[in-house]
Amino acid sequence: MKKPDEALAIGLEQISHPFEKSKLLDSAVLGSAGEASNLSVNETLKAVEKQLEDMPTAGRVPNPLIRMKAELRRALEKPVDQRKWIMVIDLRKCVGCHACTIACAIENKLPPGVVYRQVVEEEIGKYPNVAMRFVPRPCLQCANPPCVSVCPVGATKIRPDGVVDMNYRRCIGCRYCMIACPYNSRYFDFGFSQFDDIPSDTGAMLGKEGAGVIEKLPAFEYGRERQRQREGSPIGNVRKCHFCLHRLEAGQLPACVATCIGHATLFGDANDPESLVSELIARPNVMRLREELGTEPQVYYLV
Amino acid sequence: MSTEENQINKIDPGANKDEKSGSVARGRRPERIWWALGLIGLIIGSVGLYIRFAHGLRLTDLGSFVPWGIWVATYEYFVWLEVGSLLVFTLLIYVFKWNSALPGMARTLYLSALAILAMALILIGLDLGHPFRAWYVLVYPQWGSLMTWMIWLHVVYMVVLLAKLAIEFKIKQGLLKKVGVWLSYFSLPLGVALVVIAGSVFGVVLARPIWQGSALPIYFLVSALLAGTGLLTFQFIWFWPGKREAAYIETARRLGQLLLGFLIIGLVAATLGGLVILYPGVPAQASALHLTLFGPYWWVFWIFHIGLGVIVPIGLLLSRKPSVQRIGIASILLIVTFIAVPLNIVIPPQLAVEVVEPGLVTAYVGPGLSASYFPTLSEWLLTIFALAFGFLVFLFGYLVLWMRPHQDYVGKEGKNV
Repeated sequence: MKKPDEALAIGLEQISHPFEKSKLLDSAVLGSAGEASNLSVNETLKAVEKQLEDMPTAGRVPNPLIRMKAELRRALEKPVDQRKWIMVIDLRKCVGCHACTIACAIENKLPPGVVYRQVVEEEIGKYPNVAMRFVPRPCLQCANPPCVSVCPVGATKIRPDGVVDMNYRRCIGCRYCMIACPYNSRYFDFGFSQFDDIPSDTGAMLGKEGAGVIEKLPAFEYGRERQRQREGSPIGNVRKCHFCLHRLEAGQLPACVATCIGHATLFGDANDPESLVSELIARPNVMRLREELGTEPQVYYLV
Repeated sequence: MSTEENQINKIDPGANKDEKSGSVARGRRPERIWWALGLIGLIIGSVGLYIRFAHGLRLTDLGSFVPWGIWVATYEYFVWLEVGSLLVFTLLIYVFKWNSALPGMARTLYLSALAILAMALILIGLDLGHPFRAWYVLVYPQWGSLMTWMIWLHVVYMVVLLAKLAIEFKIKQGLLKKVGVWLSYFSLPLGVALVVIAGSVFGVVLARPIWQGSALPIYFLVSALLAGTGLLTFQFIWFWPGKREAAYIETARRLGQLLLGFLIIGLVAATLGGLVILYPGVPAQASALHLTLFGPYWWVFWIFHIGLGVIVPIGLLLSRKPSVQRIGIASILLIVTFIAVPLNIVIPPQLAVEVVEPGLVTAYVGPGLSASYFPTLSEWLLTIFALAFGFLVFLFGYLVLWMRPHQDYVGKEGKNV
């Protein structure tokens, strides 16, 4: 059981919209949320979400995170083969803060040289008419993925919900899937460490032994607790974005979606006609990368 | 080698090592040099082997944008040499019925193919992120992948090669001899399939410029025939014992003509292919070829490959009746320099990532995230290890197991040349 202040702080972190935050603070200060303060974190959050859902919608901007989370839970109630996870990235809202890249790296404990979601920066035009364009690049989870068919041992497969996954224990590390991916969305884990070039601990300084503890934390990719060990999987394997499947199974949005400060990255079930992403991909300003290849990416861009 | 020794060879070439002590004594000193060279290469290369197992692939220049490097390119080259030499040999003997001295080369040629196969497997096996999982391809094959087919065909080819070598080594007559002949016929479509599928592994990839299409599998076949003819010619000229026989000179000249023909076919095919790629001016397609022709390693293409590997050999072979030495030099030059071809096929199209996806390479910084490649010392060392290992396998077979050319055919059928 969390202390009321802690629960409130966590609740505030989870809610990004100022109006909704103020409502939560109000209820805490006025005592109407006093009951909620004695609840667990999850119960507090559920209570807050319920309050938000019950609030009149007129005059306030709906928080897409809350909507997407509700849609996510709705989708999880269906059998896996009836879900179709897609991502929509609104390029007009992306400010190039790279928070998604960092959140992804921390969530999946990514080593140096492995990145699941980099943001490609491009300078457009010439002075004085110059602009920056930021294109976040996760794995596009193609419906016709060229990387899957080339794998000689079937270590990478397309799941019923559309996510292209990796079987680290099967992968032999031939890297043919990396060669075949037209989007360069696959990365090889060579076994580098964040702390390779850092000196050892001294009395006055935290060195690789102390700071390296973070690398020893397990990752939970594909729902399996896995600690990177010397030359064992996933070292020597090809790695890729998997839409944070382990978070989805727990009813949480992918780390990059939850972290995006401008709500530029949106996520949901395309098989749900009432989902936010279903609405967005029906707009005329939607596009996908290198559509001429026929790979049918499941990451859409709003331009 | 004396006539008496030849007679002994006709009965059982592997059974008379002791009788050959005289000739061995004469050749002992060069043999020691060969053994020493092989062992020195193996010792130096062992450092690369140690690095590979101690540090994984971290000390290579491979990365996530350039995942395949010198080991994959060298593997492809070894496939060309191994399969190509046997393909040309089998075609000449069993299809075109060359009744020259050439059939006597069978044992040595199979031995060299086995040695090259060993080199190829070492390099491609250690190129894997998990080398000890290589057998997964046999246990969990995904038949939709051309790489699966390539590996399976290579394994079947290895079995056929070992069977042919065993039959050639011991059996001179009877049912097994017939089996050997049928295996030779079987090896023709098998070899063609292996080489073409090795090319198709690249040909089906639409993600990289130049590779995609039906041209590459055909180039692979032409390259295998060319490299294989070069190896066959070199081996015949170098190893055939009766160097003053008319059959030897005539066979060498015919092989030289064949080599010249394949060289010209290869040159024309590559030129046409290059022009077709460059003509539309599509940057992504042309960039890889530009890198090959005018990039930082232009000299690999122009001097090493075109100069020493194409123009000089063609010049040496063009005369009406070139000497055996000239043919030999041409074949050596071709074998040594032709490695530039798979290197230029495999590496430059991967370097063009920045043209295909601008900004991707600089979007995130980390080891293995650059769009450049040049083999590191550890890559060279492991390549030396594989070469030395294959060389020692060949030496063992040639010098210890006495798998040398036998002259049964000379004098008997050589007059038909």
